[in-house]
Amino acid sequence: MATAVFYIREATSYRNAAVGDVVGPASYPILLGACLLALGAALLLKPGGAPAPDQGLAGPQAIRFGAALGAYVAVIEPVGFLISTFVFLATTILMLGERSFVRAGAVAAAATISLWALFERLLSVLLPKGLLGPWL
Amino acid sequence: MTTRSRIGIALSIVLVMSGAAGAAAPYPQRPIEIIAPAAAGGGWDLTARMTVRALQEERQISQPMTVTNMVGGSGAVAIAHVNTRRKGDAHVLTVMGSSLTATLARRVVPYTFRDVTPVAAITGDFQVLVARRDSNFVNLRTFIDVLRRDPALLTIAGGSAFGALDHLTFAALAKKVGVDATKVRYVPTSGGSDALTLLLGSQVTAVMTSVSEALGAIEVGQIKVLAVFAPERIGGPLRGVPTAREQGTDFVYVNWRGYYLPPEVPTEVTAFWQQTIDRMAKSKSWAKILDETKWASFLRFGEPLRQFLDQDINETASLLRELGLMR
Amino acid sequence: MNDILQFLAFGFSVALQPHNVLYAAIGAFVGTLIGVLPGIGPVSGIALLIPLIVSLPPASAMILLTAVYYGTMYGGSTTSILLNVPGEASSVATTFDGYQMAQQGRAGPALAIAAVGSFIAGTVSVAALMLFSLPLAGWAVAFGPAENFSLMVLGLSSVSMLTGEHFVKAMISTVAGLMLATIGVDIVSGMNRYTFGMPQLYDGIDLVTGAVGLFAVSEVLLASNGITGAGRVAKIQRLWMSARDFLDSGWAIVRGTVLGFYVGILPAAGATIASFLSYNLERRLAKDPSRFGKGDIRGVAGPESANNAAAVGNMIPMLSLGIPGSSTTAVMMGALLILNVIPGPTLWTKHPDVVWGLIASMYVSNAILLVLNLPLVGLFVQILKTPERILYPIVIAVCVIGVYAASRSQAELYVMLALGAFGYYMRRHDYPLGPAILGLVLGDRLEQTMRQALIIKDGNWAVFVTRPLSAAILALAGLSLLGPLFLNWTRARTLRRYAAAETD
Repeated sequence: MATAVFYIREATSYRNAAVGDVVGPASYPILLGACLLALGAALLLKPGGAPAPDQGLAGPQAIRFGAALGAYVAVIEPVGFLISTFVFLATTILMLGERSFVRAGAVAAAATISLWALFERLLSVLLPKGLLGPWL
Repeated sequence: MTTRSRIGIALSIVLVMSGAAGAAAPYPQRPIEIIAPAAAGGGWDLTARMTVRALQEERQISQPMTVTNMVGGSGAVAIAHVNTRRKGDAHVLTVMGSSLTATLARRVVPYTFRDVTPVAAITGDFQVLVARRDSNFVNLRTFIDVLRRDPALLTIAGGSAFGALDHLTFAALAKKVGVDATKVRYVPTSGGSDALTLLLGSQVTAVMTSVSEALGAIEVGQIKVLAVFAPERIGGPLRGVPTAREQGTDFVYVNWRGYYLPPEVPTEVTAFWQQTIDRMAKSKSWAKILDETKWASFLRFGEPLRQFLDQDINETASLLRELGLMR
Repeated sequence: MNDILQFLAFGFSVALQPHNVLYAAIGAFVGTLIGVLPGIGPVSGIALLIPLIVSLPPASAMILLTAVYYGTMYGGSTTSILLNVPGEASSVATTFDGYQMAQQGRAGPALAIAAVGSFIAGTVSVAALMLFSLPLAGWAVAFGPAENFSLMVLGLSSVSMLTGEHFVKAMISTVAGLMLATIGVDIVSGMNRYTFGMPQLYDGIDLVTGAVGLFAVSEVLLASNGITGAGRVAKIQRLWMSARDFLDSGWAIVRGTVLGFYVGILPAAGATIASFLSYNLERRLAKDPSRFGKGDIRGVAGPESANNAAAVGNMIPMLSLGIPGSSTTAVMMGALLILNVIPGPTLWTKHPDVVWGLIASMYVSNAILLVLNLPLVGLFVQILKTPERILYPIVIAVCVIGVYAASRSQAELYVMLALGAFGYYMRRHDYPLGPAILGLVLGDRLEQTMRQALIIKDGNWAVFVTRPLSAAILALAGLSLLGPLFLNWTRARTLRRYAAAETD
């Protein structure tokens, strides 16, 4: 399975055309690709070691958490740091099994505000303001 | 306070009208962001930070100024960002320079200097050719003799890839003295300091880099400068080093730096920054900064700047073609 | 010698001025904070502070920056040990045994030995820096491209053997890391590779983003599944390390210090490779290497000492040759220039207050950091008591903000996410992540030095074996790769022969 993915990568490495220098930019990736090919073959021939307990690609929790993270990353610039971080934290804390809405909200708010203070005030990094732009 | 009131006068001339209720807030209304399209500590970053320092010392700007490092492809990421996200934003200045010329000449991104609003070229960091102190090269003449006679004897290192600044400088020099640059080994490294390390370890015969990158090592005294590719001598530790022109090769190569604004900004804003930068460049704070960094003043505005940029990009493109690095 | 003592006394008179001690303390604190936060490494940490130092006198500014640099090296280990989330690439090696110790309830001793090892390594290497800076400058340039290439091959080969169990998977992981490193502008030809037309990829994958994505994101994803092997952390046994812990790790600290210092001086290498080499060295020298990876305190002490010693060694090229040895020192050199101080040996005569104040302040910040970090051990261990459902989301949010703050780009966050998914896949299928991250860290330099060496020798591949130093290092690498394989093979053969004899 791993090799299949990497075969494709290996193939793409050939598309680099060499330029004027001695070795050229393509040979090193080709070398790497060849190594991987050999290793992949070795893995197929002799799967040895403890075979991975295959529990499917991902548990439902990881997929949901990953999706939340993806959404967070996607909206952080347009929506802004404060809102998106709060929502992300509150959602994921609840998702991972917190029962009390109040506690999830309180922790999320506290963490968001202390992160904001830490980066904006102490390290003077500008974080995206997003929708709250006019009021900050 | 007189400085303030003078700014006030300048501002009333170049007033930018804010739409709100006819109330005219003077430009700049918001904090100024300066994008340094490279990592902290490099030449572009230093240019940005030094500008902020001088403008603050001279109290020329009433709003706070921040420097953002937007690393990526010798300015490619920043120019793409400015064109796609910051069109018409009058409060963001971006550092530009020779490396950006090379990037644009190679058409790495679908933009040119005409897609942004160039404001000014400010400083020039002149290129130098250096060798180990104990090397046989006495000066540029002896170096060029060998270059003409037996280019295969030479190995030159520079702080950039094939087709970027240091390699282009060497290629232009070789072309000037009638030698095919592809006959000389060129070792690309990821920065002037890496190239100098190779030189000190006797891995290469000479290094092409810029004054400011070589400064530390020059002061140590383990390397000697064969020539400065500047129109006239540079002060400080390089005061005794003759220019290429003095040594009979009329060759100047500068790593220039300046600023551009996003496309579609009001002409008043461009004028404001031209004046501000002109004033800053003539201030005492800036003079001190130039002395510290050994940058030369390289002021260009308006039409002369446009001509300079066109010429820079054309010459770079033709060099790249001759080197076989571009079709 | 007397001169040095005099200068040092002068240096302490600078460093111990109340305001400078204050700056050192602030720097140590901020640095620890930056180190603890995943996503912001020493380079961006120092860069973020540059605007703040412009108004300070040069000596104070340098003291502040050095304290920050040191602080990040101390702080980086904390999250590695507690959460299996390294703050930067140089503390990845610490996760191998540090996290295991925390799982067994020995987080306290692990954190303590990291602080103590860092303190000893830092103090000893500053002494070495002070005494031998100029003579050692020669060592910094002794390594040409061929030697550096071989050194990196050695680093990679040693890490591929770390996990021991599955050689092929470790090698695949290494190669995957090297491949990730080829993304971006090729520094030799200036061509874009594997960027698929996205300008955000031109500069390749940032190392901190890489470490955070591969390790932190995948760890949290995995943990959110509730399938981490150990489940809840074992009860915390004790906060402080025992005398035995210290005796066990004594030699590891000494070896880590010496190794780290020498590797740190080399401009191409640095703290990450030093920490991996130290880990491997400890494992090799141990009588019972099987305990490594299962919570052996030497596996924490060695790398942590090595990365701190390397941080000091890194300053030698800057102070003696005027050439920065790493991106961190390059940023510091930029800061010096802003302060109108030109780095290089003239610094010693022109600005003795800066150099000697700096050296004395390294002792001071080491002491401050030790004092600061040991009590914090108790506090940090408390983090483990935070319920996972609250802890993990916060860790991820910190990672996201850290990566964003360092790059100011959303694209970098997507890269982090993609690497997180990749790391998750690798973890699920028993691929070790350490080799991948080392491959990512060393990949650029590995290719660059290889091609530089070949350009200098007109494409003659023999250059790597005809230069004696390079050949020796390569031989060492070959030995560390093939040695265990050979052992396995002979062992298997003898076993088979026994088996055959029995059936007969």
